Amino acid sequence: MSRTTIFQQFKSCSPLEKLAWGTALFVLFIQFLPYLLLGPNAYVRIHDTLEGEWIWLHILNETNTAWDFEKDTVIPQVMNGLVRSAFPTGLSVQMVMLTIFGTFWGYVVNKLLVLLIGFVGMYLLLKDYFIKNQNFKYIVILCAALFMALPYFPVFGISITGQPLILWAFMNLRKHVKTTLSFAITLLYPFYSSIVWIAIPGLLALGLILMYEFIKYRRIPYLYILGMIGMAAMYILVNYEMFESTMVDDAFVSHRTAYDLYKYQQPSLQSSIIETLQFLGTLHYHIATFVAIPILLALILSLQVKNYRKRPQTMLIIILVICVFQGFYNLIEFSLGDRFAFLSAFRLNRFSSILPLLWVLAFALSLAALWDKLKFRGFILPIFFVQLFVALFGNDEVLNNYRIMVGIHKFPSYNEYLAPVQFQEIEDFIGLPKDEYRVASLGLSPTVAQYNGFYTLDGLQSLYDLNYKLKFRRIFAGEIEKSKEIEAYFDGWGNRCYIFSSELGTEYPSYYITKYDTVTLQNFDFNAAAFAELGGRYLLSAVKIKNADALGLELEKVFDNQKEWRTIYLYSNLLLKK
Amino acid sequence: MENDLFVQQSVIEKITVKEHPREIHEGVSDSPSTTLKIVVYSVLVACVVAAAVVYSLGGRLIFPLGAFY
Repeated sequence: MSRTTIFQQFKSCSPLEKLAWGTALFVLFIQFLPYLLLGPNAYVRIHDTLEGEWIWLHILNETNTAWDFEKDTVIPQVMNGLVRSAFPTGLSVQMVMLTIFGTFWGYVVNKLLVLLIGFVGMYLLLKDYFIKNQNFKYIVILCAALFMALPYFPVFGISITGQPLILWAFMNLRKHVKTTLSFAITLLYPFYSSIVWIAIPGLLALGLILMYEFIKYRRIPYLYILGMIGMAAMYILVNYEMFESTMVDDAFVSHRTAYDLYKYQQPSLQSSIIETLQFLGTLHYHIATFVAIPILLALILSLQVKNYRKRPQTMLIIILVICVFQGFYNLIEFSLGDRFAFLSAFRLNRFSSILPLLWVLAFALSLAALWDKLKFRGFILPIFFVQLFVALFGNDEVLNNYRIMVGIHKFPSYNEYLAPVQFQEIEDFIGLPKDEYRVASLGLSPTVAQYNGFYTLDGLQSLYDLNYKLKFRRIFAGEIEKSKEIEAYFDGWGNRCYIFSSELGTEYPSYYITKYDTVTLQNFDFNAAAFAELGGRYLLSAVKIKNADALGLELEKVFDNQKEWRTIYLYSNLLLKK
Repeated sequence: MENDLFVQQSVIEKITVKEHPREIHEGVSDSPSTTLKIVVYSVLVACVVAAAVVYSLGGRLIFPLGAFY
């Protein structure tokens, strides 16, 4: 399509459609302008991104193991050598993006792709299956734009934003239209989505639609079923290493087998109700923190539109059912887990991942219903723009980037968090090849050291060896004795295989100390011998340890360049000091 | 397509001016009541203010926003 044609098409749009297209461009512009202006000095989400998944991909790239499918491959840089299969698959678009564009720009380009696919998918789904009337085209475009504004985790690819596209593809397969393209989408989706977050709930949701169709219409849509089988097969193929290590390899005992999530905090009726309300009010931070009060308002108003309230109403009921299921899942699992082991093994509480899709669909249907009643029509745009404002303001990456741009620096930028210059100074000071010694971190995430090429004993991993966890535990067993919070957090869960201190706790700031925090550990309990047994030679601490001498640790140097986000105290283990 | 799950039940797509001449013609003067306007716009303004305050101040009041804001 030539540029002239696009321009002519745009000119022929109604004013409302022009406004909608402009809004979509604005949503993209406002999200990506800071990256263009600030570069790596822009903010990138820390949780499960810079402190986790995105850095895992960086490590795979740096160690040339992204596409290493050997069963015995080990990545020595992480936790004294972690099997490659414990990391995410390399067969993903995110991995390709990072490899081509580098760690920072790969993230930005990947995010752009994630959002654009979300926009296109939502546009097609609404236009072809939910709101066909041309009068509502502007509502279709606006809602697709809103879908782009939510704070997704691009590191999980299009697990969430790809859902409208995948639903569109399956609806096509049901109707036998655009079958080649739709099959291609169902087969490619596993390469750009997380098996953990969407495979099981997604396939179950598609199965429910199938069941509904069969019961109601006595019809079996064969292409639809074929698409489901193809998608499931591709998920297994893409994540084959994970299946192999967890289901076939008997020697590998995952730390997850020792999970005791309810050791000290048992779910109750009260906590389940609170959790239900949280899902309803803010969704889930892994999916997209999203306050949908304006959507609820539109839904309530649409219930007064007699002829057209059925579908928004149905959507609202589905949303409520999912929120209640999610809220009460822990209680159900806790009560029935022993009798139905699959509840604990499969963790079926991922249905919340389809909530953004349902909320936006519900919004679009409600706005379309409001359009039908003249007295409500004037509310459509105000409600929409308030929802968009709340969504954009609630997008932490947007908010923190504009904070940085106006000089309010609450969170570190990409460069500040990963501190490449500071860690280069540390490396130079130590002066040894990095594979000749091991480090651990205290008060900061070990992914920072990993990003900078250090070999760490600690790590944030969703899968690692239980035996290693027990050995690592000995390093700070004294601190675990002092704190039930740490015991529940580390023994009961332990994905964060970090050194914890009872004085810092386990909350987010405990591995996020900045130079602005004036914390000093007064009485740290540290087992230098257990640290030495694992090869631990240096402790990178973001806090000063007052009793370091008594612990067999020697303060080598303080790295406190004012340009850096944190001060690093470099301690050496006297047992390994040559 | 009679048996189409989405198309058959899609009441929304039946919303056309043609199908609803009464409301379109008679509804020109059908503006919302003042009470309704006050309620709707109050909720919207409250949303904007609450979002601005909660997110700007840090959002630690509402789990799980605290970690990010």
